Formats: sequence, C-alpha cells, structure tokens
Amino acid sequence: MNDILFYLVKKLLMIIPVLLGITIAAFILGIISPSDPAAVLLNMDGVSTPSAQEIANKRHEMGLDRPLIVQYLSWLLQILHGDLGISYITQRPIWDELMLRLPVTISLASCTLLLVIVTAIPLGVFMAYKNNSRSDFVLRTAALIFTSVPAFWLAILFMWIFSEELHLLPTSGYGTLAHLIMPSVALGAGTIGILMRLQRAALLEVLEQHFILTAKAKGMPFPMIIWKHGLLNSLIPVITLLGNYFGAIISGSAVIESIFSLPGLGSYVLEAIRGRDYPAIQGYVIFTGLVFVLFNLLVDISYLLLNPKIRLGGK
Amino acid sequence: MRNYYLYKTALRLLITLSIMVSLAGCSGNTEQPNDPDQEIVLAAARDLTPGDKDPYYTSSILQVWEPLVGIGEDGRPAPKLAKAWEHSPDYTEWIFELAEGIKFHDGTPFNAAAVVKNFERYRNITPRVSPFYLFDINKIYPNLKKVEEREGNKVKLTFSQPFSTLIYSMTNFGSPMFSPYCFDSRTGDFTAVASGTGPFKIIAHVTKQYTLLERNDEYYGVRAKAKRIRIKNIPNAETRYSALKAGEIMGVLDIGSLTPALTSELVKDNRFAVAIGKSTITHYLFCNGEKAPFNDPRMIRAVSLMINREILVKNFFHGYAIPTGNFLNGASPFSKEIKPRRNVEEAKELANAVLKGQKVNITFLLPQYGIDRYPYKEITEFIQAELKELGLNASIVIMDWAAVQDARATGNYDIIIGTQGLPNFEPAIVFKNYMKRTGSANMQYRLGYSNDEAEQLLDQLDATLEIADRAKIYDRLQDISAESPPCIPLFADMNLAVHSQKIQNYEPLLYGITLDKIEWVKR
Repeated sequence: MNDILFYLVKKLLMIIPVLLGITIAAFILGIISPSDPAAVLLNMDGVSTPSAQEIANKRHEMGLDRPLIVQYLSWLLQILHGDLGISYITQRPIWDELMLRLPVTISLASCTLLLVIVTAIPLGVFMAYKNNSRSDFVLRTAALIFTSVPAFWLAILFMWIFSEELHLLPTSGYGTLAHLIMPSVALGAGTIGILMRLQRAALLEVLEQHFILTAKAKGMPFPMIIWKHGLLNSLIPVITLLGNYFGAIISGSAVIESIFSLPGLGSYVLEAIRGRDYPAIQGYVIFTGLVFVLFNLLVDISYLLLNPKIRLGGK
Repeated sequence: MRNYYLYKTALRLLITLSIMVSLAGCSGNTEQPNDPDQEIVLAAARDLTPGDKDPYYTSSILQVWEPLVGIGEDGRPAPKLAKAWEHSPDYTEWIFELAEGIKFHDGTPFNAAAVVKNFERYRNITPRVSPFYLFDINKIYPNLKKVEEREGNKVKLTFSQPFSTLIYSMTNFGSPMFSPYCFDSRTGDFTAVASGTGPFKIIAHVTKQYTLLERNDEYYGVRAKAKRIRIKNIPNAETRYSALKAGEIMGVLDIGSLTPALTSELVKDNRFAVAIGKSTITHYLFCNGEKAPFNDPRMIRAVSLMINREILVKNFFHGYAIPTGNFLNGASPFSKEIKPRRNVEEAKELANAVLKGQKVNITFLLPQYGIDRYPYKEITEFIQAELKELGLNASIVIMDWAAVQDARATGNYDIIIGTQGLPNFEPAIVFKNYMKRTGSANMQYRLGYSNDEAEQLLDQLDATLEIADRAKIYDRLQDISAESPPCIPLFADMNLAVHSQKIQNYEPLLYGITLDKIEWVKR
C-alpha cells in the first residue's frame, strides 16, 4: 500500500516541473513567433493601416513594451490565481473561451475513442486468434490502409458520399450524434489501423508466454485463454497509446474540426495562431499540457491496476 | 467457408452502397418546402456575430442594425435613419434630421437622445477592433467637439475643424445605431443582444456555430420576406460547397463566400445560380521600394506592364473579377475606369534599363489567406513566369498573414500579393495612406513612394471643402497612380452571391446580399 502511495506521490510531484516547463515553453513561443500582435490586431479587419504611433500605443495598452521577465512573471502569477488572461481578439477571458469549446472537443474525442476501442481491440484480438490466416491478412492490409489514408482525405470522401450524394449525414455543425459520426470515423481511422496491429502484436507476444502453455495444457478452450489470460496482459501498450491519443485529439484535431465546422479547441487555437492571440495560444498550451499530464497520470495508475509488477515495485 | 460468406457479404454491401451513391447523384434534391415561412439556412466563412465586445455586435449584412447614413443603389451615401442633413457654410456644424416613428427591437423609440447615447458609446470604445472594421471615432469623426440633441428630432454635430466629407465617412459601419438599453455606454460593451432598428432581429446565437434571425414584424419599412434565417458558420470553403450540394444550406454570403473555382463548378449544376456585384476589395502587388530593384519606379511600371491581367481573371478567377489599372476601387463613388495597359516590349525595355541585362533574385510573398479565399497560388506562379521574362527570378514564399506583416515591417521581401478594401467611401484615407510620403501603408509596406504632385494634391485636399473640387483632386490622383503606381492594381474583386435555385431574390449588395428580399421559390 505504501509502495502505491509513494508511486502516486512521486508521479504527482513530477507534474510541477513539467507544468512550469510548459509555461516557459508557452511564453517563449509567444516571443519567438514572428510579427507584432499589436499590429496584427489593429489590422484585424484587413482594411486598416495603423500608423507606427497607433501600434506603439496598442503595444503599451497590451503590456508588450514591458521587459520580458516582468511579462512572464506577471503572467505566471495570474495563472497561479487561476486566470489565463484575456484574449486579444475576442476580449473575453480565455478560460471562458476554452470552456465554451471544450464540450465540443470532449464529445469528438470521446466518440472517436469509443469507436477506436470497440473496433480496433476486437479486430486486433480476432487477427491474433486467426494469426496468419486469410482473414488476418485481409485485416492487416485494411489496417495498413487505415493508417496510410490522411484524415482530411477521408473527411472529404465521407462528405461527398454521405452528405452530398446520400443526404444521410450533415456536412458540418455540432449538436447531435449525427454531427459526430463522420468526424469521429475520419479522425479515428488512422488510430484504428495502428491499434489493430498493436493489439494483434501484443496479444501474440502474450500468447507465447509459459502461462498460456500451462492453460492450454490444462485443456482450457483457446478463446477462453485469450479472454481470461491473454487480453488483459496485452492491454498495457494499448492503454498507453489510447491515453496519449485522447490527449492528442483534445489538443490536435484542428484539421477535422475545421473541415466539419466543429467549434472545438483545435479550431480555436488555429484562429488564435492566425491572429497572434498570444494569451489564447498560451492558455491553450497550458490547458492541453495539463490534460496530457493528467492522462499520463491516469495511464500510470492503470498500469498499477493492470500490472502487478509495477504495483509491487518490480518485485 | 465462413470466410467466403464474410467476403460475399462485404462485396454485397459495397455494391449496394455504390448503387445508392449513383442513384442519389441522379435524383438530386429538388423538393420545395410547403411552408413559405420555413427557415432558410445560409452560411458564412466566419461568425458574423462576434458579440458583446465587438463595436457592432453583428455584421451590417445581417440587417439587424441600421446606420444613420447608408448606401444608395447608386453606390453613394444615402439617408437611412437620418432622413436629411445640412451643414454650416464652413462645414464645422452638421444637423441631422432623424426619421420619425422608428423603434428599436426592444421597443425603445429611436430619437435624438438615442443617437447622443450612441455617440457617447463611440467615444468610450475608441479604438475598438473588430473583424469587420476597426471603430475609431477620431478617424470617422475627426475633431468632433460636441453631439447635441436639437428640437424636432434633430442631432447637431460640431467639429473644431471643417469636415466636408462627413457623410462619406459615416456610411454603414461609421454610424451604427443601437438601443441605449442594450449597451453600457461607459464600457461600450453590449449588456444584452444587440437591439437595432433593422428588418431582422437576433433570436439566438451560438458562438462559432450560427446566428438565428427572425423577421422584425414591426419594421418601419418594407418587411423582410423570410420569417427566419439561420446563418451558419462554416469556415471551410469546400465544406460550404458540400453543404450547398447536400441541400443543407441555400446560399453563402460574406467575403470569401466561395472561391471562384468552386463557384464555377457549382453553377454547372442547374440547381444553383450565382449573382455578381461590386466588391470593395482590390487585389494588388505591393513592391518593396526601399531596395533594389523596386527602388527604381521604372521597375514597378515594368511589372505592371508585363502582367496579363486578362488571363489571370479568365483562367484563375473564372471571370469573377475585373482587370483594373486603377488604384482606387471601383465601388468608390469617386472612382473612374482606368483600363490596365499591357505592353511586353515596353516592360522589357524598362526592366532592362534598370537591371542592365542582369538577372536578379527576388522574394515573392504569398499570404495564406490568399490561398484559402482566392486562387493566389496559381496566380503567383503565373506572375512568377512573367517576371522571369523581365529578368526577375522570384522565389515564392507562403506565409500566414501575421508573418507577412512581420516580413513587411523588417523589409524582408520584394513583392507581396494581397488585397486592400475601402475603409469607407471617403477615398482620401487610402490615397493618403499609400501616396503620401508619411502615409501609413507607404511606410508599412516600405513602398518608398514619393511623388511631388501627389504630395501637393493631398495637402491641398485638407483645405478643399467642396465635394466637386475634391472630386477633381481624386480624379487627378487616380491618373497619377496609374502613371506612377504606389502599388500595382491587378483586378477588382466581385461579390459572388451563390445560392440554390430553391430561393429567389438573392442578389449581392456592396456589403452582403439582399437578405430582406430572399424567399422560397413558390411551387
């Protein structure tokens, strides 16, 4: 029990320097990016041509003329008070902006993850079960195709078939489950392919172990061996991938969100990057960094549950 | 055996899907709605309702709010909420007579007190950025001293300096009127949904998703035809195209609504149509005049003479643009037609005189927005080939707009392709920005533009009050900009109103479309 507690405390303490590193990286990103946010903001309408004095005034108003270290420390202090700042473009609190978009991204990520889990893991297990058969070959090829096809291409293809031609699914928007079907499949296809192969390989490796041989020798039916002894032991690499993948969707589904007009975090940060809305970009980096760290922690905790070796400190 | 059935089932599914796709493709979606009040769904590339922090809350094209001075059918300033105006002989005092019997959507009467409150707000929000137009009272109403209510539902504006072109400056986005109860005049932020006087009111808005408009049945003018219009936000052009084809949306509006290529493709299908109108946007080449080879004005002229604008418009814009040699956009009431001149021999002679037979490497910047909205990539490559004949080896560099601005500020470029819109109907601003030695665009783009006559005329403009006299100066400035261009005009954009044939009266306006006139085609 003490070992588990020590493991968790160690993992939690490691989060502090990681988060501090994220804030520094996010701040530096803002500094090294080309262009002046004040000039970009004043030219947001694409029509105005602000004078040098107007740009200087705006820089002052935005606090960009202060020394960098002062800017960083005041920003860090603000974050420690739970305030991510105000967006240059919308003039609204960044936290509110993120919370407005988070449900969309969470819905998309959850649907995609669910789709990946319910398709890739059973198919991976089936491939291992039918190892080197014709079915295995067909599914391996399918997995390779899924992995190779770019998500945006699939998105366009789906839109053509299911929206333009069949009028079955909406091209864009958010609100119902129907709006999430095409984005989830397009976003998840690549990972389904990877996970199918990973699950297959992990299970095949486990099936080589002595305890499987023992189970076979005891006369246990093969499907039962896979279900009771193989699957659980093969899940660690799969869960690692899924944990990171969920974080990756939350932070990086910008292209799919943009194609299907899903107003999620990805499209928000794309807009912020275009408008050099540094507080928004920095807020996003910190937020998604935190999500990644938390998911890694959850994955680590799942290791504790799944793998007794880790639970027992490798003994 | 089991595998055989599996493959057979998969094959059946595939064939069924193919047949369904083919049949659906043949049938089309030609049904008309039974209910004329059924909601009409349109789409725009951006969220047209930025909300409470925006100076306008929503774009003028949604016809929720109206200005004091609008735009007439002839493209000139026209009475809207101000039905008439007069000015003192020295143009320092202006009196606006307001239209009577008008109410805001929240029931508040539109009167002189409301106008004064709105001007109070203008002062307190200045300057406030917006995706539409930056609002700065000091630019729209320079030297404004006082705004007072006058008897007989009138408002008086007093300026410390004469301002003869006030009416041109305050059109549309220059004088939006909102109910004093929907904003906090101290902060300028909206405290409730914007309540204007327009033919539509906002009944729902979900950020980055849609704005739902409902007809204002109390409207003082001709009531809108459609009862409800939903404006969806679909940022991707290909998705807007698919949504039109799928019958999810009936039309597109706002800038970059559909690229010329997609428009051309869509109208091949007789279920769709396009109506074209003037746009305030012109496409230009901006040359870095602070370094060789464009520090010699002859090189800029050479490039202008070399470019085949007709081909650019015909091949890449599918005819949806107008080749122009005029720096001033055609939507300006002071603009005149200046046809672009093309003379390859003269261009080569000029280039040769500057380069003396040498080949020069130059950097040609292409902003990403030009690829998203226009066929800039193809156009840039075409121009690159033309420049080669002049001895200019151009390397095309694609950058996002913010990075282009940075390259512009540091002078790290030779040519930029881009757009410039008319900030308002008073062209003095664009002329000064580009043609004055200290003009903001001249300095920002490092155009290095210097023309003594233009400088003199622009100084003269400050002391010229009569519109007819100013028009003569604008006329001459256009000629100067054609002979010795501060930047190279390529073609004027067109406002493309692409729509389904299921709706009618979908016509383009200078800003937006005839939203109040559109309706379902009757069966």
